[in-house]
Amino acid sequence: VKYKIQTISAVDPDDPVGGHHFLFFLAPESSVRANFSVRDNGDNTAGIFTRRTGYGRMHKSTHLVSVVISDGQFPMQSSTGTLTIRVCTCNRDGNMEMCNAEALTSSAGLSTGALVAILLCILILLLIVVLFAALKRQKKKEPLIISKEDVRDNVVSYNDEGGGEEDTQAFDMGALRHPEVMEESKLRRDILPSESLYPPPPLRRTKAPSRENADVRDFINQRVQENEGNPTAPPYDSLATYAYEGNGSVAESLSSLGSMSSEGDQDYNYLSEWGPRFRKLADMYRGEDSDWDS
Amino acid sequence: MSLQMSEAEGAVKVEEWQQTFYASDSGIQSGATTIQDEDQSECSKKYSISASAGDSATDMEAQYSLTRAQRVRAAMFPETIVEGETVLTAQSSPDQPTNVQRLAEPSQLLKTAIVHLINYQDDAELATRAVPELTKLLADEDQVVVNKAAMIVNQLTRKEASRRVLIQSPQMVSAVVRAMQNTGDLETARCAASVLHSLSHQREGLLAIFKSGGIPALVRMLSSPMESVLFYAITTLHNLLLHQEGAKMAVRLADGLQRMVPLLKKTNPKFLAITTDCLQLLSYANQESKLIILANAGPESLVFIMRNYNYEKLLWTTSRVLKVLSVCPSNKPAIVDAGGMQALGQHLTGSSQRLTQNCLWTLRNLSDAATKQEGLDGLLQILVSQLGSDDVNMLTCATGILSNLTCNNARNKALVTQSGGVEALIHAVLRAGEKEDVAEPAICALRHLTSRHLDADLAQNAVRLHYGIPAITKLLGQPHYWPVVKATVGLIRNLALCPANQAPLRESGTIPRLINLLLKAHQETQRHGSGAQQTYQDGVRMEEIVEGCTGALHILARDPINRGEIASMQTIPLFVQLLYSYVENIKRVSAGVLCELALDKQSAEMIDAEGASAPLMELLHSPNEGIATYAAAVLFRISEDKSSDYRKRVSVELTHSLFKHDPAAWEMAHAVMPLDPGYIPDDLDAVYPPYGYSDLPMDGLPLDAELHEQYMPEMTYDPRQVYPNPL
Repeated sequence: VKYKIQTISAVDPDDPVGGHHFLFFLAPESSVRANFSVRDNGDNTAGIFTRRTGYGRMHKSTHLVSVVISDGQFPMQSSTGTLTIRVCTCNRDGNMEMCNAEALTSSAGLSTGALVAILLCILILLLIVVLFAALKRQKKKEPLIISKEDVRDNVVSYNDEGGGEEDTQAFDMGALRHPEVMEESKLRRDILPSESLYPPPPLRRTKAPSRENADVRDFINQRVQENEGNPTAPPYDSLATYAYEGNGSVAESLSSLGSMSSEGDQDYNYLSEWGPRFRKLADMYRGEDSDWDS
Repeated sequence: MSLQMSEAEGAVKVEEWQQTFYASDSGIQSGATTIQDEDQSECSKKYSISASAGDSATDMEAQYSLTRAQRVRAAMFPETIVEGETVLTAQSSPDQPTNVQRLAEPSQLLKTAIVHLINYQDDAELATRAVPELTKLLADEDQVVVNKAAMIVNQLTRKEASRRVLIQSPQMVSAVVRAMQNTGDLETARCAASVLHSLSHQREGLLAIFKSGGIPALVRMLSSPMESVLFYAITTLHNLLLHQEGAKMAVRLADGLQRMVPLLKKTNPKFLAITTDCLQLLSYANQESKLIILANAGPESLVFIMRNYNYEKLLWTTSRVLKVLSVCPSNKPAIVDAGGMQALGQHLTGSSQRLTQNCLWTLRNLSDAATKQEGLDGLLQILVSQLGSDDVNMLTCATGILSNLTCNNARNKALVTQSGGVEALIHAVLRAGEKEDVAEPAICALRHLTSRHLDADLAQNAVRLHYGIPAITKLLGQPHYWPVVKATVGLIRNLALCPANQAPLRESGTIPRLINLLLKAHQETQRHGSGAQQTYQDGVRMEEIVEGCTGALHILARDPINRGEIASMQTIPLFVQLLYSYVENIKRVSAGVLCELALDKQSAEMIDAEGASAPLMELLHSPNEGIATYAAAVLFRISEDKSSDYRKRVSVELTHSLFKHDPAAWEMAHAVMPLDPGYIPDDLDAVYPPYGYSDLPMDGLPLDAELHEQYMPEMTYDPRQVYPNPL
């Protein structure tokens, strides 16, 4: 459907006989793939008609249409007028909304190239993020606990190897010992008097008592007495194990065996008599002597 | 010069002097002497230079200033004075030295110092140049060259500057070490050893020797036949061991000990002193080293030294080695067998305190292995006299040694008793006070002395006579240190064997204290269950305290008054309960004390009322003769006021059981005893256990047979082993 968007007329200062008789038509350069058409109305006016259904404002916001107007006289004289047709946005009712030259904002739509590029970038970003996450998971297997509190300014190197074999007092083995083991290793132990040391006294057995009480009493008393003298009765003698090793103090210097060095002047003159191997040394030391004398 | 001139005069003089400065007059021509002339130059202005023999005063004035320079030079460099030249002094009076004279000595010192510095610098420089050459020569193949090079190096070490340079050259030190090791020539080895010895007096030198592998080389030198090499080597090693870290381990690894011990056979005392000190340094706290010394017959050599030398330092170092070795259980018997006790005992009365103390420590360590040694009489007497000392270390050692040496040795016991040991020990106890290290061995020694030897009663009486009983009783009080308590209780039991002691013991309040201790200890044992666990306090089992206290009360109860006191403190139930104990000895002593208590009628009734008969019947069959005897005695005494029938049965029972221990007497008895229809031995056998005395109160449970047997290897003593069971 063609819409008329404007009516144009012309003015000619030449006033011909019979009045004006203008002819309107599209210039040849605009008529190729023209977006608008001109229709001569015959009454010295023409109408500009659209030739397309829609004009993209983004695409081309200004159209230039060249219209040739001739005066219809002989010889024909024409002039070309260029019309600037601006494409404006309209609202739904067809009323004109905006027409100023504004920053053309594109619609939400993207071209496919851009879309592909954007998708590609997003993909790469995702890949990087996934890689990072994977690495971090690996690193997390580290046994070290690096807490935020662990701030070390200095690393202290401890060279304490303890007292070594000489350190026999820093602990008490007794506290760890099993009581039965302790029994065997007690510091003081009772020693049973052996048979050889204290032979049992010869058993003096009197005749057996009759059933008379007095005899029994005496018999018993006698036995008791024998027993009391028994040297194998407790308390037993005891031995104590002492193991004091001293504290390893260093002996003061013992008198030395050799004579100490002397500080007097020494001469090395004999070096020159010792043959070729000692030539170098002899020279060295002879030089010293001669230096000294000057 | 004492310039007391006026300024004008002085100026004039200087002018004139300046003119004549270089016209020095040596005095040879003028014959000027250094005679002081009192009225010298101060006032005189005029002088003339005259070389003629003029007036001597004028001459001296003339040469006065000329020779100031000479005087200074002479003061500083006296060696530049030509023979015959004399120098004037401007000394005005004898006691006021001139300035030049005052400067003379300090300037001499300054000069010497500068000379030394120059020398030092020279020496150091020279040595630095010489060292590479010498290193090369030392590594030469020709032994003569090496020998000579060693001699040079040796000479170099005599001066400090060159010595320092040598130390700083590790190649040189290595070369010396190698030369020492590889040479076949003794003289070279000696020189090289001497070099190392000189170097070892400084720390850097020790480090240099250590790093160059000097230690294995030096150890090898210990086998050298040349004395001086040995001296140098051992001294260097000694310095290394003293001051160089890591040297001890290195010497041990290089088999140093194996080479040092044979050196103990040498005869130079100083050498031996150093060697023994090396041994001490190496073996202190090192068990392996001690065993190596033992394996190389070290103890014999050391004891030999102690016996035969007099040099104090040597004896002291040797005693230290013996002290270190004496804590090793393998070395101990070896030292004792080599006569160590006797040898060490020789040195206890000397003037050297440190030697005496070391010998005492060593003797104490050795004493528990020396109870069978002979020839210790002198030692024992010295120890008794040392008990009077105030030095706590000496007391600790003396009491410790005595307590061990008197253990089960009747001869030592008798000797100590006869030497006044009892009195000395009591005084030691009094002086020891709180020190358990002294009190415990002293009380043990007294306990040893009061039993099991012929003079035991002498000792028992001596304790009383020297006022020992109150002191001993005090030891039973708080605070309880259980080893001391255990020893004291045993001693009291021994003392009570002497009848004269019974009253004093009672009067010092022994009986209540013993009973309290007994109760306390018994509670402890009950608290920890029966038999399963051992209850130790201070290393002493509470059962031992129970046994000791009961034993002491047993002997105390022989005295009638004591008996009454004991019984009055409600102890009988406790004693009866103790009859059930799983400890053999506790059964014995509790039966014993009941045996004594039962002599009193009242107590006997109480014992019976406590139901003692049942456990006593069990005890009657005990394989331990003592227990059986006491049990029989108690049963008999309890039954004395019962019906005659009952008494007869009891008698029979008792005699039968008592005879069980003595089959010979049993046979004899059978032969003698008239037969009674009711009394046939076989019947008795048949009806033996369990007999069932229905008229006896049987509230006590029969002893669990298992408990009997359970009490075993934990005990340190077991009288059952001592009584060979005749059956």
